[in-house]
Amino acid sequence: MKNTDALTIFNSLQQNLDWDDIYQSMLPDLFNYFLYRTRDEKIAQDLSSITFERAWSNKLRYRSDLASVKSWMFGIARNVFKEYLREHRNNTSRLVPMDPENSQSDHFDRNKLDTRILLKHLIAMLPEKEQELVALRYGAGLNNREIAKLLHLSESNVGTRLFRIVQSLRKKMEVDNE
Amino acid sequence: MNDNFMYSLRQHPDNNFSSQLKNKLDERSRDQAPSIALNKTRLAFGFATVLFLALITMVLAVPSVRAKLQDLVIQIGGQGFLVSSEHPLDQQATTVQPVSIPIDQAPENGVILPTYIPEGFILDQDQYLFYQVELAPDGQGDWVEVTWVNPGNEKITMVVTDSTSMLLVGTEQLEEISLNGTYPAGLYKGGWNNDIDSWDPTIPFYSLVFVKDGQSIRFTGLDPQKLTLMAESLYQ
Repeated sequence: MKNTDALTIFNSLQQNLDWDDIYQSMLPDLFNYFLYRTRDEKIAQDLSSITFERAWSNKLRYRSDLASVKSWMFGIARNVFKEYLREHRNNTSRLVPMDPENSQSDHFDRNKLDTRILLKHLIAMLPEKEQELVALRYGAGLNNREIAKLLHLSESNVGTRLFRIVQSLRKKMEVDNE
Repeated sequence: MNDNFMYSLRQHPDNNFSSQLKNKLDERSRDQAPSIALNKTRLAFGFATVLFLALITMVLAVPSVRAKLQDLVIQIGGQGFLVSSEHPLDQQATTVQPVSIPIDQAPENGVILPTYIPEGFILDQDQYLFYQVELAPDGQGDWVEVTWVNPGNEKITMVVTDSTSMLLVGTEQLEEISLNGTYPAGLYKGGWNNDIDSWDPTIPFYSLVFVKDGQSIRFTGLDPQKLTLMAESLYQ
């Protein structure tokens, strides 16, 4: 390996990232990832806090030569959620669809309320792996390539599975709305 | 595909929550500032030390010292070693419980075993362990671990991983040796101590690392001679 390669690694280890910017840009995505996973705004806030605190404690361990900040933080987030699931394995009743009326933020369009509640119920009934795909794609806003890297799947596999999930959910929503 | 409806559950985090968490993180960052500075200094010092060693190595050109110290990265026989003072990232990967597989299934699964086993050592429970990394943004894949044990409970472990992964070590004291007089391998002593979160040179184990057929193979044990003989037997 050339010396320049080694210097690149060293520089990347030493680079000064703007963690304020990272916080501002990552909070909505992480929060919504947890919101889609738990369907509980308070739990999503708690898990977001744990994720950020853990990441901030390990800032020096972040290596840009190994992963983007986004991948790194979602790696932490997924671990946090797995730990949460392990701790609450016998209390899954906490993972109930959120009641939009009690939400602390957002103003809800009454016309869309029923659709949203229905969608939450339908997502909650998906298998675990499909819930994870939905949360990463539509909660966190990751693209298929980013999801594929995180889940060790091929990009086309992610795309196909998401397509089927969305088709299925749309169909069920149409049926239920009739 | 129109999937706009799937985004309809997204909402903006509550402003109070956002600002409170930010304040908490800022406080934490302020508390950590001295140790961050210290770590950066330590890393810079380590970098300077390795550069110095590299220069000394080149200047002296000691034939017996064949380890090519190049800044923070050392390459031996296709295996990259990244010398770092930082403990391996434990936040980026989640390891699932290993799967125990009968050792007689090793060949069909592509796990090659050494033909030489030191006297007194036997396979631990006639099985090998398969670990699957569930999440690893750095691209590291699964690995296999085989352990031999003797009546005194001395262990020798063989770990087989993807050779594209760089091995993170906390020491630049790597010795390049030759297996069967042909194949280069890296030998070092010590290991990462998870209790103190840093490299511990007093750990008495030696590790012998080399690349064979696109796989990185690492033997770890107390006696480097035994490790070398086991490694060489893989080429027979």
